[in-house]
Amino acid sequence: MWETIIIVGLVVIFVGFIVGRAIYKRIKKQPSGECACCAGKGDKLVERYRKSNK
Amino acid sequence: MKRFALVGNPNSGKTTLFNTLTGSTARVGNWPGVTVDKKDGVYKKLEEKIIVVDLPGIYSLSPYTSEEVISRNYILDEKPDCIINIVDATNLERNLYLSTQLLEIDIPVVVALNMIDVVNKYGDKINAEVLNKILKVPVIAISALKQENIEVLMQEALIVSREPRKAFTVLEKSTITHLIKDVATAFKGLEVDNPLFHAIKLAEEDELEVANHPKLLPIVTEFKNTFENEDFGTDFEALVADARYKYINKHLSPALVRKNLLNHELSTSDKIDKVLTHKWFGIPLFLLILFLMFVLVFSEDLFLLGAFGIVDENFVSFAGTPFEGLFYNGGINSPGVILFNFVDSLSTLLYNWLDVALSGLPEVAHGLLIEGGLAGLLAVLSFIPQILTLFFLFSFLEDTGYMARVAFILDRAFRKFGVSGRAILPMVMGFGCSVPATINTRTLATENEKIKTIRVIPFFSCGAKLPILTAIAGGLVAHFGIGNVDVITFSMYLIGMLTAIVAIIAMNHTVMRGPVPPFIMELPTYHIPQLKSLLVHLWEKLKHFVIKAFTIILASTFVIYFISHFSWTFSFLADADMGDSILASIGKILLPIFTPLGFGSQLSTWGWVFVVAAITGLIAKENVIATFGTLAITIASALSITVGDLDEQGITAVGLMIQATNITIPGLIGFIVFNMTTIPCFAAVATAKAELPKGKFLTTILFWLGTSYIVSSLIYLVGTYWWTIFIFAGVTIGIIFLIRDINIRKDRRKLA
Repeated sequence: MWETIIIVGLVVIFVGFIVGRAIYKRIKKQPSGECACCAGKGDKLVERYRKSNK
Repeated sequence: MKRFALVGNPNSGKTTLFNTLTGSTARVGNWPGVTVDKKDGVYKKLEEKIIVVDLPGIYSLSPYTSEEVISRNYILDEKPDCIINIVDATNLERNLYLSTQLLEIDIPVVVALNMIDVVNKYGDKINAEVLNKILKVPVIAISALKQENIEVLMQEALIVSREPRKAFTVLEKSTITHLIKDVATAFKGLEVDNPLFHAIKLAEEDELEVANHPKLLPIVTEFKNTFENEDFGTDFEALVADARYKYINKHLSPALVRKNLLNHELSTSDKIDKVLTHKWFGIPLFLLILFLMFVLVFSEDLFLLGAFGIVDENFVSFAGTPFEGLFYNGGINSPGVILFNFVDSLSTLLYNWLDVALSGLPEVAHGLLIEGGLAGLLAVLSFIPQILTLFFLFSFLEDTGYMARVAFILDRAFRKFGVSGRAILPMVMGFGCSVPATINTRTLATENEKIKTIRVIPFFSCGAKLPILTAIAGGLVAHFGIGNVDVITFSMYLIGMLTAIVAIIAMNHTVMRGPVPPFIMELPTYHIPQLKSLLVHLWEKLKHFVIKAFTIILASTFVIYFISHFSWTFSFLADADMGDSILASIGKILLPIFTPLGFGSQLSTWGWVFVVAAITGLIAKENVIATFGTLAITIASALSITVGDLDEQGITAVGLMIQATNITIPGLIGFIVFNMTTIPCFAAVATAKAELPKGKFLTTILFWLGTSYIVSSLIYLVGTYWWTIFIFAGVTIGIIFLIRDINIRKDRRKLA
């Protein structure tokens, strides 16, 4: 029984995370999917550089 | 930190240089208009680090489309420390037109003479020193693709960025010099940055400039009253353009020597174009190339060698080994099918192993992980090889420069339907993914054309729809024994394109009437694609697909399994009782709506599965096959159908669904067409909402729903009852005459 509870619990957390993240991105108007991949790359490069020069 | 902006004509190699400088993997393509938004990256090889900004390509600083405005505004408002002006050395005259405008801004400029390797290859010669003297800024010959002279370019850019630069114009000896000087003085009085640039733009009566400085316009109007040019009258924009080109042509001749002009020879690109863009053969050749691509991806009897008896079962059959059927199965398998078989065998092994390893778990947990998550996931993942092979071939064609020719050869036909050839490029991009394709519509000149294109992009079947097409085509061949997978899949793509054409025609004669904008596009030089660039394309696609599979699709399969095995009272249901589940009850309510489409009430007990699969496809199109994969084992168990080994998982699942529902061939084709043409996935819908003008989103959603419903019904009804074709033909002719009549009345009223 405990195995079922753990597995179902983990699945619920996973699904909740995916759905929650999608809703958050929609509300905050953040890019998702392939657009997020591209947008994230440029931002990360600049952010990394700024941190290294602080 | 200094910022250098990459500015240049479309397809001059800005993004290739950006990727080389920053180590980024931004999308590049051998056609104009790939970049539609600015991108940042960091260059680290100088004594100080530099932010490099890649801007959308522009032909001049008088913008017409939204992405051109992005470039102009960035240069004028953000004031980068240096402009690196990328000039396509193979097309110097036209590229220098923009350079002459950049020189009119008080920002340091370095000209990067890109593709110099191609120029040298053709035997032409460009003297960078002479150009340097003409333009009064450093000119560096580079090859972004082969990474030649990149460090020299950046070093030079850093040096010039340290000193302010005074603007200079090539119009100093033109007939409107006095006007430009007067307006420039007025701008100086207003303390506006870049007075020379603004003065010239106002003299040209540039829309943005007139809107921003209406009070200065009378100076231009007054000057106009006393001015008349025998060639251009008072059209100052044309006069300025002519003066720029005259300057370029006069001063360029000492810098450029063309071998082909001397010998009166055609370049290799011109020779290839004579065939590929031929007036009569261009379109048939395009369709043939497209068909060959599908053969290479989907054919189980490559070039029909098996059917003609040229190869038999002795040909690399590897009988009795684990590789049996991998290369040969009645015919030679295409590369796409070989890769598919290989990955499919691995996923079957993985499924069987995990099934046994987790067999000790309670039924709910085992079902959720294995029948739910794993089966659904593998049903989708097994199509990765074919998606990537097709994407590789599309990327190959795009990088050679052929896709730009496709826009050119289809322009004449599409212009009659209601859009220009420029709109074809985002449509072709839709074969990869609707999201970047929709964003690319920013390059279209008119709002009408943009709306029409966004609406038809989903009809160009994207990679995510490929599992639906392949699995159902495989199911059709395996279960009904008709046709070949490659021919069926190709036909489905053609149906999508045909639907797009009919939809454009319909919009053009009803709600979107108006002239089609002119189509002017530079045809890029053909070149052999770099393997690295193609692999980067593939890696990006693979990464995105796998991330999507392990997030949205996996979550969806869990939810589908859960609501298909629990009733509204939350009690767990045995396989045979799945018809009482939450999912089934929702599907059964919606079932009658889909009856005219061939997958509604006419199907037997499990028919609701097709309806819920179509609905889950609205989240992500891969979910359609994931839903079949998740439910197939349960249904097989309920009906006591032997699944056998789960090879070709998505196709097996479709085969089971055909057996369980008794769906007909027209019903299955109606199902594919509905999924291909209806509302696209969530991501594409959100992008369309962002790109469409206000008030057009809801009508676009209704348009997608209506089109998919009508086209699928038509296919099912005509396929089932052939005589209904006469009814449809009659109704269509009636509608055409009605629309024609309404339009004539409208036009008469306008004239009156």
